[in-house]
Amino acid sequence: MIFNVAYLSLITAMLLAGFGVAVGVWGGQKRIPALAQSSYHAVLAVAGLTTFASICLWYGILNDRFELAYVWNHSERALADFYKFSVIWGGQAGSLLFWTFILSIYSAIVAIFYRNQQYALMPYVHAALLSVSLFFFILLVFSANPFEQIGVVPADGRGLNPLLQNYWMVFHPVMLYLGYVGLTIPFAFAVAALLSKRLDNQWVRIVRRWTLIPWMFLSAGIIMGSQWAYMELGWGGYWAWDPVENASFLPWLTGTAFLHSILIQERRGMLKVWNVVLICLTFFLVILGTFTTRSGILDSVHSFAQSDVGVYFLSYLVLLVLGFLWLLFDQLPLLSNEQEIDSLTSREAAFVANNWLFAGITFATLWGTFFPMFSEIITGDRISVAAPWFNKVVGPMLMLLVLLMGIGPLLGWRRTSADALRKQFTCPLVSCLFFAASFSFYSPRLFPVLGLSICFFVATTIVQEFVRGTIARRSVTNENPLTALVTLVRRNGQRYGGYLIHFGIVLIGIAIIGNEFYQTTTNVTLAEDESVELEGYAFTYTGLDAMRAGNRTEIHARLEISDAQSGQLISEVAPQRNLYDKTPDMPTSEVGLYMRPSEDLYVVLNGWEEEGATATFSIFINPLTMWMWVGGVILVIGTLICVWPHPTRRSLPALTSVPEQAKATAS
Amino acid sequence: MIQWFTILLAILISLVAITFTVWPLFNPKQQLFRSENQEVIDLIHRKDIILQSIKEIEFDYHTKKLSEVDFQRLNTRLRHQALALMRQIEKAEPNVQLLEEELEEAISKTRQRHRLERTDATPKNFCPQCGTPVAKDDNYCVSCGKQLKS
Repeated sequence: MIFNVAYLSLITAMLLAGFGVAVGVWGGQKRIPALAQSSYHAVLAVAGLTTFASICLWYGILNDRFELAYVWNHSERALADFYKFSVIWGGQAGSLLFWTFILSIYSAIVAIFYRNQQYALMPYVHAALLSVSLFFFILLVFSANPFEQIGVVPADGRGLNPLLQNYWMVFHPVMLYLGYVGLTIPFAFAVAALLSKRLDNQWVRIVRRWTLIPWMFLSAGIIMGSQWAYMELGWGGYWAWDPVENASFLPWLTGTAFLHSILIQERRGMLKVWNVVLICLTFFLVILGTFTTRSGILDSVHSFAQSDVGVYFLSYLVLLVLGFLWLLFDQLPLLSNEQEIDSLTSREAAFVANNWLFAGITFATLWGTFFPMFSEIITGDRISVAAPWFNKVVGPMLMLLVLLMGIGPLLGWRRTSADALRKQFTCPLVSCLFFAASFSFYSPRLFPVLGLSICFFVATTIVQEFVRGTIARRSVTNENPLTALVTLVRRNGQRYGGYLIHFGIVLIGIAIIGNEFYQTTTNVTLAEDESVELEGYAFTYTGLDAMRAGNRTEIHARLEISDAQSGQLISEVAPQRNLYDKTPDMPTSEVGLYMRPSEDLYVVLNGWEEEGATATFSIFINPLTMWMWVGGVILVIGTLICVWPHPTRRSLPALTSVPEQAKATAS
Repeated sequence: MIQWFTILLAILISLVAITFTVWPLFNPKQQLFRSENQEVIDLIHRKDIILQSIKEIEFDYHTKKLSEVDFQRLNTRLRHQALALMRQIEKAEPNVQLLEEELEEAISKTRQRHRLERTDATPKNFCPQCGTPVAKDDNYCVSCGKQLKS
């Protein structure tokens, strides 16, 4: 019964979303407060109804209500409650409902946050947000109903995809969804700015924080996905340029470019068209990413759910492009630049170069991702572009981007004189050259030396920025160095949070270079108590254990890792294979990992014979990989510093409430 | 029976949501949304951006990214722009400027009090108008533009 009510609440939400779009646009155009207010109420009502429907589905999943086709297909009684929670995004209909749920919550937060501000923009923002929700409600109601019932009550479900039964798969998708869906907010503000003709620099100021938050989630989601691939897929790597990995990387690229280019519009009133295009492209790539995951148009290990929703997505994408182009060309005269770039040695010029590089990487990744589809349409043969192509094309551009990350912050806004350039670049360049010369003796290979030297250069520039900023602050306030540093970061969160993010990216870059250029591997079959040596480590196989755990049988191999020369025991690892009761033909692997700052010792159990008398392993030594996860954490901390409210800066108050704000701030 | 109850519950939930959404159309007194003086808001935004730019070039100058000559040139240009905008705001909405000043004064008093409590810096190192720390040889406040030396 409750599931019928939940389905009807989705229908009501769909109707209210349509109504909200109409009153939002009408209220915005005619400046009728009652209509604008009604669109605000529609956002809240839709959020309430979607939350109700989502809770109903979770209730069905957690209580094993197998009369629901969705629960029957994606869950089972023996599944741990922890993983049952993630069943909602394990299949088509549930994941679309989850998308809509997060969007409705984001929309409600934005609507409440700006209920007394931005009167010209907000009705259109409501309309834009509700129009996206409307599309997903149409999908849920007409194509992918999560509350569809099968008429009988089966004794048990068919089980969750084994690959999803990993703790990273509980957090990674949520992070990706929070990132993906959150990028709808800046898109809605861009559409609102176009519709209301309020195309000054105000909307970009508002969306900076609303872009940074989803960007942080998306970054964390991508890093967690890499960690999952590293731990679960057992091929020694973390990124395979898989189409669905690329689908999450593409909006990250354009979103990052947008975060940089809005700084120029905010400061100098430039790149207005580019910014509108970038954020709409980001949202387009979000929908395209959801489409590729959900339609199964591109073969991928991630395409868990495939069905007929593709037609809906394709139609929506076409509508989106046409609607945006119409709006853009209609408002083009209002998007002219207020100023020009003064000098090539300015921060704005570095930002423009950074945007060109981001655009280039996006295009190359998009081309490589969709090339198999294009080749199939044109020639009839599906020709895939493999990881080496991406590494060759995208790798050098990413390296240039990292280099710019070091150069940009050293330049001042508008113009940097030759003398200032010398003062800024001497220390990082000298230390970088010193590092390059020393490292070449250790490893005389061009690309890793170049890459690591660039990373070192950027890290030095970041340290220099912190040191110089602290000195400058001390010269004004006479604070002690630590207080000066803390206050500097607190009062300039955007700048120094950004530097921390850059530092996180540098660490990720170092890990990628270490893994890409210095990885060593061996495949070996070992009898009990037999050893193999690799890079100064001895791996000794000591036996195999089998144990039951919930809905699966786990086979653990025991290996001792010791120093090959001294024989001293370093650690023990237990790579394992999981055989699931419902899907015995889809065993999953859990790698045995010993992590060190210098390298990861990574062991995969490939198979065994004679009940464990012999076992086959793939052993990898992955240098510097740990720094990828450390870099990810630093990136998140940096973003939090960026979005943290300035200790004293006030937001622009509504004209009617200035005295109250003044009193509140003063007290 | 259960079927009827389902239908009734679904209708009830839908009715509550629909009534909540259309309520503002029949109850105009409860409106949060008002019309606003967009021109003044734009001017205030532009002024805020210019003041922020002044702070940034000041910072770039202190961290040696801007030469003395470039800094003075940009500083003068930006201050002229900020003053012009303040005059326009004054002209368009005199009350706003007054309220802004009232706000700045209240904040600066609080800020100054906090700073005095936290640091051993003497009050003469702060701008008398807004409370921002200033160097002894500064001619103008980096935050509000007040002239510090005659």
